[in-house]
Amino acid sequence: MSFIVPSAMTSLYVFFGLITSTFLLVGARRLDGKEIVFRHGIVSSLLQQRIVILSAGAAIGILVLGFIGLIVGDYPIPAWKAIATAFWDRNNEYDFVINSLRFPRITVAVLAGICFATSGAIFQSLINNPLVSPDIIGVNNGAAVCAVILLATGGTVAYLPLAAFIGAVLASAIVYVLSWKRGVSGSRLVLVGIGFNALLGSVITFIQVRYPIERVMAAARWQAGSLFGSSWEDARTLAIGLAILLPAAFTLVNRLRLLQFGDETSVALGLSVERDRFALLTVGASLAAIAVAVIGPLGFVALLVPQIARTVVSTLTAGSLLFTGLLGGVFLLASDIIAQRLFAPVTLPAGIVTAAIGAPYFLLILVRYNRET
Amino acid sequence: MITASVVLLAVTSAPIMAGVVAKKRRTHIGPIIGSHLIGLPCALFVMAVVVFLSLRYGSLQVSWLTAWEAIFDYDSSDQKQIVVRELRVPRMFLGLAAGSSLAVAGALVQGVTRNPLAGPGILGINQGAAFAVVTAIFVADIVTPAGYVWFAFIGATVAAVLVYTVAHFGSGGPTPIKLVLSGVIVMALLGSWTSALLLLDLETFDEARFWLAGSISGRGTEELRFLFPFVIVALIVGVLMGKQVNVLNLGEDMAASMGQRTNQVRILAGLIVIVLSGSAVAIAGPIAFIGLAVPHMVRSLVGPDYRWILLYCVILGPCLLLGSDIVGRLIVRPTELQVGIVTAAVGAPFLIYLVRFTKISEI
Amino acid sequence: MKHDSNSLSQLSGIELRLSYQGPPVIEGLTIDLPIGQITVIVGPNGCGKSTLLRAFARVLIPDDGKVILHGEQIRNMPTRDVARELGLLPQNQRSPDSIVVKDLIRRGRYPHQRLFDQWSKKDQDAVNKALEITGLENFSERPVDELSGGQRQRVWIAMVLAQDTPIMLLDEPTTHLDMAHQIEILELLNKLSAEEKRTVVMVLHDINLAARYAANLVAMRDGSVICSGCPNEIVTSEMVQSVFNVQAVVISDPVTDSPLVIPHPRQKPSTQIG
Repeated sequence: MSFIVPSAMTSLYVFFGLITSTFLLVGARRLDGKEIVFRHGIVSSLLQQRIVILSAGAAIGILVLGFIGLIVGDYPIPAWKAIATAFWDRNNEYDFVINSLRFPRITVAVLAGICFATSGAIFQSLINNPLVSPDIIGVNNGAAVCAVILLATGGTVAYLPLAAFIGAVLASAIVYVLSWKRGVSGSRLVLVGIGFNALLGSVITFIQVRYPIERVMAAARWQAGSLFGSSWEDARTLAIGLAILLPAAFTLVNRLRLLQFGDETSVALGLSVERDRFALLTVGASLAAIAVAVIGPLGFVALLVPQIARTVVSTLTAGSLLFTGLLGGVFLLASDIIAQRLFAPVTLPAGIVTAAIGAPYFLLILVRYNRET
Repeated sequence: MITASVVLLAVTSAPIMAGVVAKKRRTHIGPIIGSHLIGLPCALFVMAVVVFLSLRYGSLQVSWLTAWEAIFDYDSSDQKQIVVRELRVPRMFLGLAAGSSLAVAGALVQGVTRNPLAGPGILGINQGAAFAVVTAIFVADIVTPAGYVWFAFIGATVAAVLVYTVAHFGSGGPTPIKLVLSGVIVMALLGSWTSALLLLDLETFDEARFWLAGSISGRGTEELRFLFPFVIVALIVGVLMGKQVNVLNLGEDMAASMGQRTNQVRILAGLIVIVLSGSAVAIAGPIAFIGLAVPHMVRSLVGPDYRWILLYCVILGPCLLLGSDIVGRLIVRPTELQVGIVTAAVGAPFLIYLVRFTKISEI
Repeated sequence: MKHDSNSLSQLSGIELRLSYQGPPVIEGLTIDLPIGQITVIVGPNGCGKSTLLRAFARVLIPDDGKVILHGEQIRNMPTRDVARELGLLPQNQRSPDSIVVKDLIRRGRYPHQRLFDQWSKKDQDAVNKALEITGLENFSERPVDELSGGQRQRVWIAMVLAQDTPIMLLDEPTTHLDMAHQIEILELLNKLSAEEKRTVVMVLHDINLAARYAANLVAMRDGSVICSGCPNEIVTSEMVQSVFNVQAVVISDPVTDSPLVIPHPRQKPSTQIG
């Protein structure tokens, strides 16, 4: 047994950060709910002031954390130098650390966080259950099965993201098709998801007990979700995915809002329920699939962040979806930095940290529930 | 492989027949109670078949005659009979106990939280046990089954109590939604700490992965013997709680107006769940599927009345668990496949079939 | 069925067969709903009135037969276009948690909104008008689940009003409403029909209210239309007996001159009507 003790300074920062963010979240509810009407020619939109402020706040949070991420590490780098190296000065001794290690990793963390959180928001709005995350349609386990098989059999690691993505998409498609019976109802999707996830889970467990421990360990590391070795390639993949899927999600958010009313009212208001539900599930599952392919199944972000966002913003609009995404970016980035620094020089997979530090935030959600659902 | 297929077929088709008989009767003949009562002997028959099969089949080839003799005409010099009596019979009992416990616990949890995604694991029980066991391996190199049992049970209980306590945060006491959220907190925390330990130490992972896969092969039966009376009592009380759960499901206001003390009912249900699934995880390690899926499968066969759901869970839970155990013993002869793996593989297609072809009652 | 040659039926059902995956609730029903008038469907519980309304709203797909809107089959029309013509107030309404009154009403504007035109002047005006008409201006920021049953009903009615459709289908709009609000809503629908020539089709459980406000009354029983037409002509004690199985006296309402149904007590000696 080895003794591993968390770094005192980092623990202090984490504690401080938790307290501050909690205060911010609680205080944010007091923000004025004023609405801004934007109308120009044929373009019009209704913005909630609160959401604009919160989204800006989350963006600032990302910038601040990104800055911290550039500076801290096994090799602390002075602040001004860090920014210079990241953005214009390529020819100094910090170039490798900043531009090949830290900067890409920060970018990947933010983009993946946005993917997970947005995906989670879509699923939780489609199926009104606090236990719901993209996991229920099989994204995590589908990706895991393919990745674990690849790693356990000693396959080429380069194919890992592709295998994971295919697994995630295939699993989601299978769950959707199996739940189809003149349409897909939320409860049927959930139950089929339980069954299929369990099936995939048994395959994973099978591999875990029958294959050599070193390979199994490598697979388990991937499964815990890690941003280790994130490259600009990964960032590019995520960016492309978001560029396509986020606008799609924003376009569909109106329909998501209506679907919350139940099928009958949705049809009466002019929704093609099955088609729109399919579109939303596809966008949600794809967002999660891309993120899982790049950094592994960090399902907890998709579970927690939308619920936190909902304690502050109760309406479902494109703006609130953006806010949720940005909040996911903040959360994942913070978790990754903590994962690297808390037990330095030992690094933890980010997935473990997200669950560990995210769990207390659920207390916030808990406190808000003073009536039954 | 042929024998395995036959067993698989028998195990899977019999419950379907039981279910079809129960359903058919419900729509054509007699009052609901009558038809459910007819389904009961069918289910019991299936269980008897599975029990028998679990004695007959395994890594060691044993004939029907030997199995019979081992129980009723024991000859302690016959090696095969020893295997049956000393190994398979206790294993069969463990399977019965774990199967019933998990299924009933799962049904109670779903009845109290009204959440179809909740299983006994939602009260943190599986995660608590896993954390305790992994910590024990990591810190103190505990590797005996007996050791696992104690740590698992303690870990499970502490986690569940923690979940209940956290659910009291905010106002209103441990309502269903807060129990679920509180469960997520504890599960996430314990799960992440457990993963951290496993990933930090190869030896720990190597040792723990077998326990984590779930198995009922004769673990510390001596220590568990004292648990059995509690399990039996808890099962009986759990099944009798069916009526209370039905009332609870009407909603907080309705239940209160009917004179039910909802908080007390929930606490009692929680205690039963802790005893049952705590014992199950101590016996068999974490097996998530039975507690999560068997109540759904039972519900699609017998409808939303928890009196029947709980009763059928007692019978059909072990069917699935023992059946999976048998398959696990046959499929990779002469070694075994852990029951936790097979359960989901066998049960999931079943669940999906039922979801597609029967009317789902909402929880 | 009387066809008035001067008024075109905009909405009709032809040989409708409707069921809920079981035995048919309605079979072989043909009915026209006249334009610009208030039609009220009445009948005992389970006679199929809600089912018929839902079929007209294209929320329930008929097993057989067709629903015609503006001469076209409604199921062939793009559903969003239909939503601009036809609004439905369903009987059981489900609202997501903690939604605010204003937001719920706004969602009625969905059929009119374009991708980039999310909150046009028309949207804003429609919602404000709906809030004003239903008297909910002071409640606009409140969460819907904190309201009383009657207030919630008014919110849903406001949503349908905001949807601003020439045809409005309402299933039991007066449930939970106190007398003042019942009259208010029905008077409003009357006004919309008279002044703006909107077609209103309602299911009401109270035959007296129905007789008072309907231009066209449709009485159903066991999935068939027993009679339909102007209330003054068709509401008789024989009709009440055959449709509702209730013995009643029908007099003329002293205020509005519409038929007023006054039921006799049931014959059982133990029954007391107090």
